[in-house]
Amino acid sequence: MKKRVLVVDDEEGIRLLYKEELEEEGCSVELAASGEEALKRLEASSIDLVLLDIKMPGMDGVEVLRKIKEKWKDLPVILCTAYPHYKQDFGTWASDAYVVKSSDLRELKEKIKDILQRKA
Amino acid sequence: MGYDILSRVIELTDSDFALDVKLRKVAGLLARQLPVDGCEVYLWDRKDRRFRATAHGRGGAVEAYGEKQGLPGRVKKTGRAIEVSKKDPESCRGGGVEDMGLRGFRGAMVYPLRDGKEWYGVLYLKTERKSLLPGRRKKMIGVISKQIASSIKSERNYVRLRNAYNKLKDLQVRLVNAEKLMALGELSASLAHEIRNPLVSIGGFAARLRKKIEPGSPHLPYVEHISKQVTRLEEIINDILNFAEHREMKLNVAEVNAVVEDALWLFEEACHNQKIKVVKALSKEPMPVVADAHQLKIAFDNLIANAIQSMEHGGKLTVRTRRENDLGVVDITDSGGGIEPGIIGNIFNPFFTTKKTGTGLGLTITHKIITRHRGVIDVANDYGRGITFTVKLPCTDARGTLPPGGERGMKSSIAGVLAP
Repeated sequence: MKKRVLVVDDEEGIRLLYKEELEEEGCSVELAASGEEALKRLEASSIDLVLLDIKMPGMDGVEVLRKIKEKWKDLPVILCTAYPHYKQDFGTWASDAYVVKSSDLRELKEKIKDILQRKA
Repeated sequence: MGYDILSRVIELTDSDFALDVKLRKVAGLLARQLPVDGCEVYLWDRKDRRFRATAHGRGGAVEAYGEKQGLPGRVKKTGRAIEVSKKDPESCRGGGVEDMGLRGFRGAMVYPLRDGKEWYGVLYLKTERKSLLPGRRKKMIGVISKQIASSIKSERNYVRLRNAYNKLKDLQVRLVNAEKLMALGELSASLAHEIRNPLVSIGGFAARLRKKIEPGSPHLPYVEHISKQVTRLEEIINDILNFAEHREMKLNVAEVNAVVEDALWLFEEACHNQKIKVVKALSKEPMPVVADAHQLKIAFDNLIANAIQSMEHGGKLTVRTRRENDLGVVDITDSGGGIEPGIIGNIFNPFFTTKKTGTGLGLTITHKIITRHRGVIDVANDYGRGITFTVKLPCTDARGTLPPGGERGMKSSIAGVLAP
């Protein structure tokens, strides 16, 4: 059974890139362009892991993270951001991993693999 | 005739010559124009509390007088001019005062150079003749002394003003720099975010394309170029964000030797690959500092990385640590040929680099980290041979408190660039 990953990012290019790369790794990937959309997706289908951008128009990633953890306590979330300094932000501590965005996706993929294995 | 001398003295004291030149010329003029055989100006050295011979009219003079020594000492005590005459030219006593300067003379007049309570020195006139100067002349020398004193005073005020001006100017430059850096920090943090996201797409898709292109295809290098340049831009953004980050320091007691050793370990392989010989001379004395060990490590990483990058074709990296009283000192020396003397002054400026692929932020960050730890970083550039970076950090006592005044009295410098 394929693992289902939800990618939440307001940038189309990044959504497409993550989708293609993660599908190659054997995941099934769903996309959401905003926090609101992401929460709707989570209601509708069962997801194993969320990749969450922090800086988005509307509801930002930290708020989405809080809502996810309230409702789906055990659903792992990886925060992806352009800023390393969010690491010091209390709001991000509930996430399962924190990745600084890079065109080199190796770190992200490793973290995804780790978390999914831990969960299994 | 008397007024002639006076007007020439005024002319000299008003001139643009340096103070000691002025005084020498005045002493020479008086020795020539007055019926005297020696004329000296002694300046009062407030720090050493001594009168120092600064200008000779004719003949030799005593180098210096203590505060209570000789005729200058007497004049300092009474605040008034003094004149002495004696029968025996070979004796050193005159007017009840012992003064080596009197030997060989039969009379002397010493005038105070002062303005109110402020002492500048004395004017010392000597004669081999029996008779001293007539009263009219003495009055004139009194006026000349006042003129010399006011000339010294205005010179000192000028120096004080110039120093204050230079300090202000220096401060202004630093303020402007600080403002620039702050503006840079804010701008770059927001810019970095806007740039990083598109870079992830560009680089990520380039990597995907690369997988699809047949090995040996002429198109492969194009994609590789894209990837390489994206990586470079991403590194620049990381540096900018590190630089802009106003992170609170997590202070603990760290051992400088351990931090340095850790940084060296990181580059062991790079040194081996580049045929760089590493000479490690770490102090056996403990060098504990209150520091954010993570940040301090970044600072030394940068210095060592810099040294290694300067030695593309091998060389020698020397890392030495030593305890200097309250300071832990680290010298990092490379044999990479140094930097052109004309541009070494820029090396701590943001975005300055001599490398083809540097961001120009490494040393700026290092400088910032060391300064935040109340330390200093100095550069000695031996052009043609290599560079030595010297980091000095205030060591702590066993309780882990910072010694007071770590910042004061220490100033980072670039050898051969800052005025001595």
